[in-house]
Amino acid sequence: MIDLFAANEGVIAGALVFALLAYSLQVALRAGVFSFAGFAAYGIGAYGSGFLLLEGWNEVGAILVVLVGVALLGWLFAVLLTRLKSLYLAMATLALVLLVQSAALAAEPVTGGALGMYGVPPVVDTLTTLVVTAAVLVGVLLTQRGRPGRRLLALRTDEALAEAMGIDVRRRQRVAFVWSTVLGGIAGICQLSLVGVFTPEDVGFPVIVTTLTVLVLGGTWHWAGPIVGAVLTAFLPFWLAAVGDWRPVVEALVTVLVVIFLPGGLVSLVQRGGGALRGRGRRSKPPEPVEPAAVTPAEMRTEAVR
Amino acid sequence: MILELDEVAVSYGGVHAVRGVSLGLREGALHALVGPNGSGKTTLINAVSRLTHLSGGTITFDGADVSGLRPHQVYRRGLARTFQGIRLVEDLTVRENVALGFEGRTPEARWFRRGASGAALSAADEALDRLGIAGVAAERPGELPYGVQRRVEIARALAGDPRVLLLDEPVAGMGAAERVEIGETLRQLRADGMTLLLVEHDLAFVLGLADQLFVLDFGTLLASGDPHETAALPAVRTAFLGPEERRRDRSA
Repeated sequence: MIDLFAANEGVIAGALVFALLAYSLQVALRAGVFSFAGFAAYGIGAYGSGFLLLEGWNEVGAILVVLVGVALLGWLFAVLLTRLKSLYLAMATLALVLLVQSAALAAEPVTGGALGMYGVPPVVDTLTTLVVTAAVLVGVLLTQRGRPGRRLLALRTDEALAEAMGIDVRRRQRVAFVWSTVLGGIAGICQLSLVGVFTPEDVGFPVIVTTLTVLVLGGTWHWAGPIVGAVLTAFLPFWLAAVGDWRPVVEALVTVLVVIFLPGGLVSLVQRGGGALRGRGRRSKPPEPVEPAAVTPAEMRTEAVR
Repeated sequence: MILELDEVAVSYGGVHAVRGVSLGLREGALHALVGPNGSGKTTLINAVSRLTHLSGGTITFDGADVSGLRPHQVYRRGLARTFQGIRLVEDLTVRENVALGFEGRTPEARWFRRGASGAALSAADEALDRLGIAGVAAERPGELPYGVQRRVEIARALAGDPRVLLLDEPVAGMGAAERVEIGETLRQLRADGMTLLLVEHDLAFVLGLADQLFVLDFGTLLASGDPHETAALPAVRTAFLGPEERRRDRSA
């Protein structure tokens, strides 16, 4: 197991960063916020931590300052931008990403310009990133089940209904926006440490497109979706080595097939399998006594047919 | 009065949907708000539940001005509502949908407390039982007949134990038997001390139920008072059935 980890450490590290970025996107989406601000925070996290570390700050201090800064920026963006909805919000936050990219190119003395920032002492390794990603996964899992999960689902499904049912929609969405930027910031810090260099190209459309693919392949709404999608996206090129130059075509085909036939991502395949197994188990048991109810579903359907 | 509207107005651009409506709800009484289609009934209860911004006037709930509050804040104070169209979360079971109503009254800081989810589900079971649909708790809303989905919506509002319940056309699309059942449920809620405002355009349904009738037409309060006396007023008959001459022509 350790050998397997060591042999694939680079790929695993890349997958973990994309999983963090996908969680950044998912956290916002689950609250009904279509925001790319996490990608802007990804750039700020990388360049911010790199700058402070090159200035001689200690590791903990640099990470804390960057994450607090990213959270404050996230809150400011949230106050300004969460009045916008759906595609309008997506476009506004995309502009933030482009702003960070342009600033990185322009501020060459600090960021290294087009050549990128390098020579920064690493603050995290692959194992630490794995632990951080696992912690994020647990956090997302906790908000997907029980009461928080129900309420987030209501919020995402119907904002007016959610508000009328006592959910503070504006606050929930702002908090989700801030978490999205913080997770983006964490991903940026990890990326710079793990790869050793960060360029303006790392904050651009290819990263956004890959992250969206990770999310769609894994499962947009499921807590395990980002990690499943990230692992698949990272390892698929190796598994498809045999098809040679046709690899990008096959990758695109896989993505399209998943979108059409598995809109819940690959995670939904596992869920369906589990459901079928549970169903088979249930059928083999003798029928359990049913508590008396005023009206049963069967009676209601009969009434509806009449 | 537990809920008072004073000169409430709602405008969308140049359209005045509600114009200076003043009315009050007596605690523990069943009120009906009727009016022809497009008279501003739903806009008015959207304004009361704070889903729509007021252009003027004030709303007082339990002695406090709630005109500037947001929808979740008035819900937490005990003012719940149902919607004209079915608005249930398809990915949740009926029990979980109804639990949302209970959870809305709980501060968000307590969401993760041990046993909190169980309490919400117990409250949901109780509300479903009250509506006589405990048997569908584990079903998905989309799998149920329309009338049952309507009752699930009422159960969700009841799960929050509101002091005032606004019902937007709760029997729309229901059969005669189901309408009678809903009528009985509303009477029982009134007997339990709940204040109700029933929004309807079916005058016949509310006449046998309501303690007080409000008639809305073109966004203004046309009449209010005893249901039968108010319904018999010429202005109310004209609003619902058209001018006297036209009615005579039709019957001829």
